[in-house]
Amino acid sequence: MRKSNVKKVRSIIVIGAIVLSSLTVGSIINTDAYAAVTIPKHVKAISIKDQYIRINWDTAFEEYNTNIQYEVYVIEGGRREYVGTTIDTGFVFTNLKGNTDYEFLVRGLDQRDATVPDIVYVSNKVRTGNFAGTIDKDKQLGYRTKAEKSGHTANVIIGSDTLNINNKRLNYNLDLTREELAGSKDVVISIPTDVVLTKSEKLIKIIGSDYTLSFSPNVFESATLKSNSQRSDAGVRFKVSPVKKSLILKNAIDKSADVISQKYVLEAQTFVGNMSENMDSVNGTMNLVLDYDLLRTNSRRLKTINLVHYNSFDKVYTRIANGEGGTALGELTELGTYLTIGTRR
Amino acid sequence: MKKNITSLLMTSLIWGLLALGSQTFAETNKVTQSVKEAKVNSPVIQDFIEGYFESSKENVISIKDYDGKLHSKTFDVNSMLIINERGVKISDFKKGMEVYVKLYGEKIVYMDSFTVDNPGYISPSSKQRMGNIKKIDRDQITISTAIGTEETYSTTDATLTLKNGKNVSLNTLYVGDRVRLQFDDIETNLIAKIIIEGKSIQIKDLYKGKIAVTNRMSSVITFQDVEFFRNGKWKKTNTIRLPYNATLPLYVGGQKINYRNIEQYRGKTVYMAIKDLNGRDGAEKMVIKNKQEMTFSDKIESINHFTSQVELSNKRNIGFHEGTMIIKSGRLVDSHSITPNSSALIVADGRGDSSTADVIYIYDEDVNNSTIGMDMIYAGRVDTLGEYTLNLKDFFIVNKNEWESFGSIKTGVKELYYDNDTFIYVYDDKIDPDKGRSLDPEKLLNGEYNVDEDKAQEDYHKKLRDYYAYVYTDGDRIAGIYLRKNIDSLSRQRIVTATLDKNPLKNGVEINAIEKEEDPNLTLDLRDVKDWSNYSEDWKLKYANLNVIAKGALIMKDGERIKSSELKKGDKIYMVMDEYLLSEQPNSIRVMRKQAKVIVVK
Repeated sequence: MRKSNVKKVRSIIVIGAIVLSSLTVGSIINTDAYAAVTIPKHVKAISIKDQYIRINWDTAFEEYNTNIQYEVYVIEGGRREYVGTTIDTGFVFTNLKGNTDYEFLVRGLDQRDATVPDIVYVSNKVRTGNFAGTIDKDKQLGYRTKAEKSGHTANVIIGSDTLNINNKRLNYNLDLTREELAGSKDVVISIPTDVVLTKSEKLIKIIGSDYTLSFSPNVFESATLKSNSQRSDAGVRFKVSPVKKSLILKNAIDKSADVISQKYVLEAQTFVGNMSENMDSVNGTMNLVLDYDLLRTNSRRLKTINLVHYNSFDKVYTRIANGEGGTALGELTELGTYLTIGTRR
Repeated sequence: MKKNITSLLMTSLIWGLLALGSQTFAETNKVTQSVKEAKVNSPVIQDFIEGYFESSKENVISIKDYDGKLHSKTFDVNSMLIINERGVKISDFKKGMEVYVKLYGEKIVYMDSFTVDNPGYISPSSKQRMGNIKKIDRDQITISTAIGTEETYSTTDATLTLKNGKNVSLNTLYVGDRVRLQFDDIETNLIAKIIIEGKSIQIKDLYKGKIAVTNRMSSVITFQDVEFFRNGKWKKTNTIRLPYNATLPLYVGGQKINYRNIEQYRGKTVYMAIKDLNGRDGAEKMVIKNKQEMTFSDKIESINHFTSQVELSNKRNIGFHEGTMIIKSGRLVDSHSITPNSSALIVADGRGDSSTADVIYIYDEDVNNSTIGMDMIYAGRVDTLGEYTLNLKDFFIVNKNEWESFGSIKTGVKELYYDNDTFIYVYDDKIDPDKGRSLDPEKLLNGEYNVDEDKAQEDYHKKLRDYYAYVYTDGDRIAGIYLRKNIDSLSRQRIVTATLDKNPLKNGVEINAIEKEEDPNLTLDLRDVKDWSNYSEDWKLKYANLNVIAKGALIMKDGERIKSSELKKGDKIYMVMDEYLLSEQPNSIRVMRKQAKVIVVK
């Protein structure tokens, strides 16, 4: 029965096209750009927990669904607005407002772009409650603290939720040797402006395979962030990663200098929207504990161990602290490359 | 006597010498005077030339003096050639270097130059930079170079823009375009010429497929279960073979992997941005699917670059990474091109509530390709016509993909300017209102296209009506205008972007040649259609091809009007589309007509 309906409507399409051709003087009309009709029936709209409205309908062209698309219009406050197209006989309308009446109109379009009379196929009216709209489960960007491993990089967001008064965590330990971040070589920590600018005793502690770096989020405070304190798209991205390439030791502290630890580079960028600027130093201190190779130190008879900062621009090494017993511990104020060097004097 | 004779001779000699001396002095003085005069008039004097080194060939050096006169003089091994006070070879002199040349007759005995103050004259356009456009901020263009640096240069009114060898407007530029910038001076940041690479940079299609066979020996990778993204859906297609390209960036789960290891990912699904490489398909970028696929077609509500995340209007947060394939206007771009309120298709890779985008396909299009452009689409009533001026009344502008009214009777007048290069088309046929003719701009003023309102009661003026116009402008300058007796209902019009699936159709058959006159019978078969929704302020995907009548449409390409027969398969268009009821059939069945009103070829 439905199939015969289809045939009937299609024959009308052809007739309609011929009629149109005869209406126009002086040219042969290609009928492809003319639209005829499908009839979506029983357009029903239902609100699902005031988070979205589901609209469903039946169509005379059920067997030919793959060839049909439907344009959906919302009628709100007397205005009819196009909100989307679907190939299904259902549509999900989101971004609901509270205490609002919605009606929907569906136009069926076949491959030749058919339409239905607008007035007939309006849905029932749906009214939303006081609190309508999609629930933002994962909250706004930069709000939720999370840590994920992607490849050999640990991506961490120290989100605004850390400022929540109920959040009683003292420190944020990011252990790159255990659990979900195990095996991460690089760590990227993103911190929104409000976390950077709110004074806090809480520390971020990165535990790598041969280093520990701890610091307060406040060390990234800068004039740029202060002047953009209200922007949710402003923040800091801090990255710690091992340096693979070898460094020139010509300018190192002593001619006998030898690198006895992994080299790590600390980089930070301040972001405001899509603009970014590199930070050279931090506003405070970071504590770095860097392990060095004791066996190598002893076998080379290296007597003095120094945790040094390498300035890649000037190619200059600056001594930060001494090392002892396989560990060097220093307070850092500069970003850049850090390593441990041993000398024989 | 002898003494007297000697004395006389001496006196004569002295007088003679004195006379000779005075004559010599006078001559010398005269020469000096002439040199001074010569110095005033020209730097070229008898024994030296100052100017610019032009060329050297065998034993002849050409120097252009400050007046532009070319001098060709010989030199030999004894000629002293100096640069920066050091002896050099003739090959060390470069064209354009400022030189001082001493001559002995026609021969150069000495030539020197300094490179300290004037390190580089270069031949026009010989300083070049190549790269991909990263950012366009009005007259500032930032490119990323092959070595990964970013450099910013400026355009001026004199900057030439070439695409496919044709001079085009700067507005043609897109972020992601591959360009060659040429400069006339080594020190300048002002671009003399921008040469835009043609369609070779454009991403033809988005594919996904499983790696089946990798054969480095035959330099080919075979993919099976291949699908390509068309009309909002993945569509199956045949197995494809792509050239092996070890320089291709390849990512999995945000991690860059060595292309040589692609064999290890056999059976994995790969997303590929495919472009046309000299008639053959080639991948521009690949991302290997890591976990489960989720696709979203939604508006990007916000973006955080420091957390590398976007939030969609469905409130879902999705991360992106260095390897995310970001496509905008058919070009690969970086994450800086993602802006809040962009509409996009996102192919996400993840599990549960944690997902990262493998592909972000941004739909956004506008009349202008970047902030360089000042192109506008107007619709309105022709109020007054003056010599090369046209006042549009009760006018509308396409603003953020919808008609915005400036229709106040008192203030809604916009003064626009036309010129002899403006394309004017008039629909005033009494029988067929859609039959038009082009009009010489000089004759616009003579035509009956507007009414003098002060004389509206006079019989002659009673017969007249203001014409309505669709106008495409560059700033206030009318590039193309279509005049018609009746205005369309703009409220039912919609802005649409799409790609021509075929060449324009005539009676259902593709045309393959540009027709001399505007053909009223052409229709356009469009794919990957997106409609602008004023309600949600984003682009909505259509899931099937759309056919529209091209008749009566003002079609602009690169700032110039073209005929509908000049449109080609694959052209991306931005279109003002009208849809109106043509007839109502029995059973309440209505026949609608979709007609393009303004088309901008992107």
